[in-house]
Amino acid sequence: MRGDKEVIKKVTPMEIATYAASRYCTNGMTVFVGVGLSLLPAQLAQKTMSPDITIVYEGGSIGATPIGRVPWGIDDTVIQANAECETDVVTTLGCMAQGGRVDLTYLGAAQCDRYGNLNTTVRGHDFMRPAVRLPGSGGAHDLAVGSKNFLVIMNHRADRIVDRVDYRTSPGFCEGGRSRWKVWHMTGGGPAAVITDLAVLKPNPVNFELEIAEVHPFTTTEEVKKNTGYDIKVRPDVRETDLPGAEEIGIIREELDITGDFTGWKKLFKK
Amino acid sequence: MTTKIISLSDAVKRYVKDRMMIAGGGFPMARQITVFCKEILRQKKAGTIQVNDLFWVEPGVGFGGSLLVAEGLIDSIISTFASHERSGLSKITRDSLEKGMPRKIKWEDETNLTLNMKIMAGALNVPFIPANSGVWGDIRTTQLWDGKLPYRKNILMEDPYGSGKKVALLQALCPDLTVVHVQMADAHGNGIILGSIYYDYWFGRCGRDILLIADHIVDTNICRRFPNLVAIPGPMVSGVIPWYLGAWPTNSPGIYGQDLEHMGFFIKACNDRNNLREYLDRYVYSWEGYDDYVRLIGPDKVKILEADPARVLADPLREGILPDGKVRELLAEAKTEKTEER
Repeated sequence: MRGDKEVIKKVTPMEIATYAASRYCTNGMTVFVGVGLSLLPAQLAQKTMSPDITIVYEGGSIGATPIGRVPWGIDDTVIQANAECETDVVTTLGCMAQGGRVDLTYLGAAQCDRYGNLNTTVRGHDFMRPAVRLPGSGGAHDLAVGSKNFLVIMNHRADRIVDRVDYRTSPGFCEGGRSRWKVWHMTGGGPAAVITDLAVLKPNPVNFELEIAEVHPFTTTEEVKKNTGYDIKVRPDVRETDLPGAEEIGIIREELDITGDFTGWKKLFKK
Repeated sequence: MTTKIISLSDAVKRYVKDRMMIAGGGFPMARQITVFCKEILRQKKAGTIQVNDLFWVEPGVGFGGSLLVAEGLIDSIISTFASHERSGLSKITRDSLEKGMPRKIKWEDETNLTLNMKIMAGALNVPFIPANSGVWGDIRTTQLWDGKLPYRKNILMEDPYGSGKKVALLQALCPDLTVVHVQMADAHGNGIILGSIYYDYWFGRCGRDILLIADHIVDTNICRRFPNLVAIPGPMVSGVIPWYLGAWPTNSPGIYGQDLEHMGFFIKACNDRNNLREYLDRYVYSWEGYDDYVRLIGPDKVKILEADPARVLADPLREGILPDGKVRELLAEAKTEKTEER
């Protein structure tokens, strides 16, 4: 199936990213879910290979198992209709994430730098007169500090995967090397991977700079490099990203992203 | 015991003053104090209160806060999130920050944990609280500190007990007025919250005055039967405002769901100043009293919102809900008491 031209034409880049991100969830994990695109992978994992995960939403829902429809956000009532526990933000972000009880977190970002530090606050260099105002941190900073690991899901453009972010909202590996732990005393492990619509980037084990580890089947390492804002290295063992199977595609389109807002799958059927 | 029930218009008249720091509970699409924000705008227009420069604290500047920003009543905001989530980024907030329209607001970015912990420190009456968040990054530096506002940040400290760990010292925050929307409250001010609590556990314990807006007023016996559901203790609370659908178009789990259709309509209206003006005229200024407010939402829409998957959360408590007639009696009682006080 890998590299099969017919299959590639029938899958969108964000579906590949969602599937790749979902595979980091394993049974028994406590998984924290953010807004937007990061809503999808944990739910996909729960419906396929890891039904036994506990999903946490920062507002206070723990063990949420929505029935009837897919939540459109972290404070949708459908999350609260069938949760195991309802508590507050200090418990989820503080006691759970920073207390070391969250195994994996999904985060979105507008910009990501070479060390996986994220910007979700402003574009442009003048905070007081931003070129574009973005939503802000929400709980992302707190999760990036404390979660055992986190995954970033975002679009891959030269002005998004950059050397320096316009505003440092959430910490990745800070200034590189072991600075995250040695200088800033953070408890969590930092980004396990940055999954984009073109590639999967993973940190170098020594200097913690993001490198190209996987490339989605429809593109090339050259293309990925061209769309990256810094001189990104390619891992010697770089490989093609696995494609989702018919089951996963079916769940994404028929259950999780029915409108196609997140993954854009409906565009495949437009002539 | 005297009742803490107070009408919406009396509460705004009595508690809202210019240059106040006001905190609003909920989350971008949940339990927002929308009707309270509307009432501030309405009374400002009617001339019953004089407010021009509010200091607004809200976890996510969603629907209610946006209306105040749109009418230029807010001077500074402390928040963590400027978006209506799935419904999109807040155009009103963006215009204000990017273009200074209708006025430039001062914006302070916090994270959900740091803001909540600042409120926690305020509630505990300690001057600061140490945290793991806010040690690294640009959230450390403040935009509001101008020598006049006592808003400080960026103080780190190594553990004085010798672990070597570095923490941020977050300055306590105590609003002049905190308003939280709850599903149910009794006349003593005991607030029952169903579903996620967000910031409201600590919001309900911090503020010179704390007001609740309740979808339903319940018999105190319900609090006695389910005392662990009372998230906000009565003695913390100064007033309880009965207003069914007070959080609309955001949700109030157990009572009604979010009105995404209306949110979409609102977001679209925000893209154009004329449409926004029309929206405000209709949904903020045109109605008079509770019945009118519900008529504007539409009885059919109300039925749809009430048929929400989370409605089951409130089922065990529903028998304790006081009927409308009884609530009106309580309101009338409150009115005479207040007049006698004066």
